[in-house]
Amino acid sequence: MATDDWLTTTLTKLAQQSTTYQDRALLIQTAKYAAALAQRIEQNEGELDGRIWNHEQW
Amino acid sequence: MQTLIIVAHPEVDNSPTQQFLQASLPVTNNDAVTWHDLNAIFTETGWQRETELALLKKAERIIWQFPLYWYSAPAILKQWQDAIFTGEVSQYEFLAGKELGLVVSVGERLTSYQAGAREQFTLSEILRPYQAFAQKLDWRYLPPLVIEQFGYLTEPAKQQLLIDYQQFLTLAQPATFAQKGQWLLAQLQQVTTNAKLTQETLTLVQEQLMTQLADYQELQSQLQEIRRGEHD
Repeated sequence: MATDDWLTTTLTKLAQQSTTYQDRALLIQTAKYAAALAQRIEQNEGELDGRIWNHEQW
Repeated sequence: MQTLIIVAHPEVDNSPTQQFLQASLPVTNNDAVTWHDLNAIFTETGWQRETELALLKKAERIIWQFPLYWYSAPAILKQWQDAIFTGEVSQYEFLAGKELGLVVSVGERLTSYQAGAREQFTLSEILRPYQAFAQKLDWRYLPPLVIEQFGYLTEPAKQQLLIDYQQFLTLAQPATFAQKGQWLLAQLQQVTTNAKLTQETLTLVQEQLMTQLADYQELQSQLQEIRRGEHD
């Protein structure tokens, strides 16, 4: 399991185990944030690769 | 940051939206957020102007929270505004630099508020008098937090609203994606642990999130540098 998957899955699991409404909301929203963050990191890495290997800039 | 929430609703106790928002107030560091129900403190002689001005002075961010009735706030907000901000505008220079954020609940769908749709006008147009007020007093008008048809919100949408509301009250605006992450990270430290939700797992989660945020910010700065170096 990739670390970002682990983060999202664990946060979701923690949300289910939480006993207060505010904490549950926070953990669920953090899980959603972690998923978005992982996606952004992947996109940024792709962009970085693309720009580094852009032959027009050599 | 000190935030003052001015609640303008004729019946806060009977409003599911206002009750939800009140229950959503941050539980930690809650002396930084003040809930100020205009209806509850209204007396026969009105409001204590000096007290109200002192509250405004203390706050850095001022929230006006109300349901949209006939394209405006309930009358009590206007009544308060007229009672507190009397006379020359120059008297209020000591309040310059505040932030004004509106938390507005609407009974219609947001898509109704556009040219050609049911309501014809955008919320930016409808809420213009509040923006004008902020402009006049040299307050910074924030993009409003609009709550659309609260009664129809699903559970996940309510959870989202709770966090959006807390961020609207306490997070520097405008906030970047990374700043929102830092905010979540700070909040995670306050989560109540129990037999299943252990401190150990929570700490691991925080460390992981912190690492990923640092990676993201590093990637962002590398990309910015490369973009700067590129020519057209």
